[in-house]
Amino acid sequence: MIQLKDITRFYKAGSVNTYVLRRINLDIREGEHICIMGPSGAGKSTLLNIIGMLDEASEGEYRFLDYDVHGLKEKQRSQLYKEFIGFVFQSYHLIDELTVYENLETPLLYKKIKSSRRKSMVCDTLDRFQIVGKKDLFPSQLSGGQQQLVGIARAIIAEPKLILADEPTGNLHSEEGKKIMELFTRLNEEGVTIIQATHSEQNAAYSKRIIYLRDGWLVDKL
Amino acid sequence: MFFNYLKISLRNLLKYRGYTFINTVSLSLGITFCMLVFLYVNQEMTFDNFHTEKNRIHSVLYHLVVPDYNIDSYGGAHVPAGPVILGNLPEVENFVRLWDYRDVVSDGTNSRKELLTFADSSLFRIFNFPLLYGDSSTALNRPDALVITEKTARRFFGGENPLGRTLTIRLGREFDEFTITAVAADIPPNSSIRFDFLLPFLRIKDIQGNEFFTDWSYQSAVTYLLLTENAEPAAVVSKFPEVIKNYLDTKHYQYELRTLNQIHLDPNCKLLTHLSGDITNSYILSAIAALVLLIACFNFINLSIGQSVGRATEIGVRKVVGALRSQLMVQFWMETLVLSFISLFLGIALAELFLPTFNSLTARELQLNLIDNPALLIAGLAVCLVTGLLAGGYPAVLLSGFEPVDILRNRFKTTGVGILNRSLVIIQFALCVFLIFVTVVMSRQIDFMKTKELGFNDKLLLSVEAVNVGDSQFDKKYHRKVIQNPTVLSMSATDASFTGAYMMSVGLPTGRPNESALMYRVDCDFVKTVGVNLKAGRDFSEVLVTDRDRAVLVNEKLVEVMGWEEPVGPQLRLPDREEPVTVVGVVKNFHVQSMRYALEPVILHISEIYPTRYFYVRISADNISSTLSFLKDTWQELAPQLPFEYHFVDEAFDRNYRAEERWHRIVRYSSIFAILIACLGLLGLSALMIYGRIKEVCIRKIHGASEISITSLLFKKFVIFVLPACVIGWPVGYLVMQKWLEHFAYRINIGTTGFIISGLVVLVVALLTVSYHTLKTAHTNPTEILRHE
Repeated sequence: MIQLKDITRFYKAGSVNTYVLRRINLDIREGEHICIMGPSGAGKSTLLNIIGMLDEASEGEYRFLDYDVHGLKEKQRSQLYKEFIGFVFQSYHLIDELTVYENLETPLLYKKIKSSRRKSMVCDTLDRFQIVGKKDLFPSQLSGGQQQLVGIARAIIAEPKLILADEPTGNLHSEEGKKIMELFTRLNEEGVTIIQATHSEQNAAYSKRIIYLRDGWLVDKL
Repeated sequence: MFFNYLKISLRNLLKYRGYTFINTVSLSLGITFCMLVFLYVNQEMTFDNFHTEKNRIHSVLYHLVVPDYNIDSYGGAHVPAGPVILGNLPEVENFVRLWDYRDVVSDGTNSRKELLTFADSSLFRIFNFPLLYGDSSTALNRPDALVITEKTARRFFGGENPLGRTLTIRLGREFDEFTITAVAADIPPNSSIRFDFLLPFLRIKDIQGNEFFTDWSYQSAVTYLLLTENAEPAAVVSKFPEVIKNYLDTKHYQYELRTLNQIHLDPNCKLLTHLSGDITNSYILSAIAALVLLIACFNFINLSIGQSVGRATEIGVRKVVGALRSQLMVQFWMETLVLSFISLFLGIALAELFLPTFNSLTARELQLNLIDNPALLIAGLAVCLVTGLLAGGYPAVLLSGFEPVDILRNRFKTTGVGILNRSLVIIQFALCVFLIFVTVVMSRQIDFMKTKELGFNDKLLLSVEAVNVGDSQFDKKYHRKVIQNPTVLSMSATDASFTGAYMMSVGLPTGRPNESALMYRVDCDFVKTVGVNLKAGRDFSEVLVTDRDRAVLVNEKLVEVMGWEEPVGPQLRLPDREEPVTVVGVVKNFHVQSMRYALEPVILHISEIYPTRYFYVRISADNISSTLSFLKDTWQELAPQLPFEYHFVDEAFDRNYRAEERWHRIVRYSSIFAILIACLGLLGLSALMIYGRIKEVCIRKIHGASEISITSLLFKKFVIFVLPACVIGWPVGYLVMQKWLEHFAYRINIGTTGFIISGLVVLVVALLTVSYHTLKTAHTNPTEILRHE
């Protein structure tokens, strides 16, 4: 599903290049549950952003499904990630002005899905995540764990093939974190590919494959 | 999707209540201004358009050109022209002439001088003035017919049907009874033709004699032609010389046509209409409205950009979950549009509120009626849409361009308050500086004109209109009785008002064209009563009989124009008498007109062939009200039928400056509006700017900065706005005012006051505005803020 070949990412700071990722080679098959681990500043989020096509590699090749991502135009690329990828963030990034229901509805609106079908999709998802009772609340009225639940629900509502989660439990206490990880496992069992970046050994235990990053290099062990 | 956008817009507007308030208030003020000005301009542009045949109605005017004497003037056609043109040109279907005159109307108990309008009976066939009572085809047929308007009817007869009732009207010397044959609906405010009392045209003979109707020399009347369906006005004009050549010198006289809808704004038609307009006013008002709206739009742009930091996450998330840039732009535009629609409604309400003030400023009777005037609603919606698109455009483009990865990874550099915001604030304040500058200079000029030495004593000087023109017995009797009262210090009679428009002027034999002098018939007490100063020679003498016809007083200006070395003694030839007159004395210059106009040479004479039109009465400061009632009682004793109408000369002189004062008030109101809106914007922007620096302030405080040093640090940022604002506003104001002052013969030097006041006001207002957030920030407890970092 994903092939990264010699992916390098650096930022120009004056005349010096600061390297964040160095020659990453990685193959990920559909249905995997992968965990990226590494200390702060190792390049975990950058790697996720590149896989998620929010960021672009400075060098190297990236194939997603049958597409050469590095050769695509901006617009085609965003089409691609909208179609296949869902994002989950450490700080949830729900839209504060929208209710739970409306937050879930937003991706469907942008996909121009018809009103009646949209409604049934949102209701199914609310049901599935057992948050029907919360649908008219605003994010500020929810606990962190509940917000992240909504965040994940929003990520999967448009039925993506891949979920990218950047420290999804970073702001949660351990009990809430456990629930979220169990949710990811269930989604993975249903066939969704999951890649998450984390610090936590506990979280890593849920995944079937662990990738270690240090100073931008892919390493075997930390 | 649409409702989703709408919903989000409303929630966002509610969430950022403070900014929504600022934006709504400033936009609605801008819209209010635009609405009011639109009403005005719309009326100006649609004058007289309620007449069905408006495209076939044309006014005839003469154009007199005598190059040798620099004469180039326009006026209504000569009185006999209407019938002559109708008789000679088949393209003309009908004509109507209108002629105004002021005289006394009485219902037996009250009498007052009123404006009488004489009109041919065809008036109602050509124009659409609907009648409430009476038959339009016969309304002006009877010689004693009188048509009044609804308003006049209410004044004299209350709510009753006045048909058949009578009013007594004086024409010339005699009172005559007129029977009301019709009542016309009140005349719409956008009509060039206005009347209260309409009389048959032929009755002018009572005043001017029968020669009036055949006189091609100097009598003229406002004349309208109704052309046939397919007639070409140009073709009609080309036939005029042939028609008038038997009566007029076609070398100097030309006849021209103006379509009905041109009359209101054509400066050459000023004499033809009761309510002439000036297109410049429309331009100036539109420019002011556009400026105020622009300032409001700038607020919107500024605040939206300033707020962008707070909305960055939302934008990033939306993009990540699939929003296209265009979809985000639509969303932001939608928010602006929702806001500008709210402002539109508020603006309409405010326009309603300010309409009476605006009407008094522009001397109009405008009405805000959205149902009858769909153009207004369309204009309002258009302003609202354009504002929404313009003001929302830049922020929409900017905000929707944010890169999600930067935002979500906190690598997002806040656009915050940048060069653009600063420039917009500077432009706003430059406009304020400009408007204040203009206000200050205008008020100084008006003040200057009102307080300038007139050359005579205008205080406690009363001017009484001598309505019984021509009855010298009455004049003498009244004079004799009045002068006996000890509070009446002195009294004089003249044939023209100082402050009025009517003045007789005579050419001066200087050898140069266009040198003329104003001529006043006065009497022996004139110099004493009015308080003019004698500079050389002597005053008129009661005892010297030769003074009656052969002696004149002149002013210094006349001496200067004539170039006399020895001003007393020279002789002048006047067109109205055979013998030359001798200058027996010279008076110091005195102003008889507004300071707009330069002093002119003046000749005073006491020949009694000119009837008294005004009495000038100097009264003492004691018991003014009893003196006034004495003057009135004495008047009514002698002439119970005639109204006693008077005014104080100083007040009348001040009325000369009504137009200037109106403009001054308009500019003053606009500058208050502009400052208010700009301040609202600055208030919001200062909050955003200071909020962006709050961490810096806290760190400084932890390291020992005092509140005063913090305050001055923040103030400095805003003082920087004022200087460039002045640098832009001042020169523009200076140039504009220089141009404006050129209209006045007597004017102030612009001086420094305007610069100082406009700069200081803007500086102080700006500092006061930002001080709220500045002081609040300087007071902040640093640990409160840094704890969250």
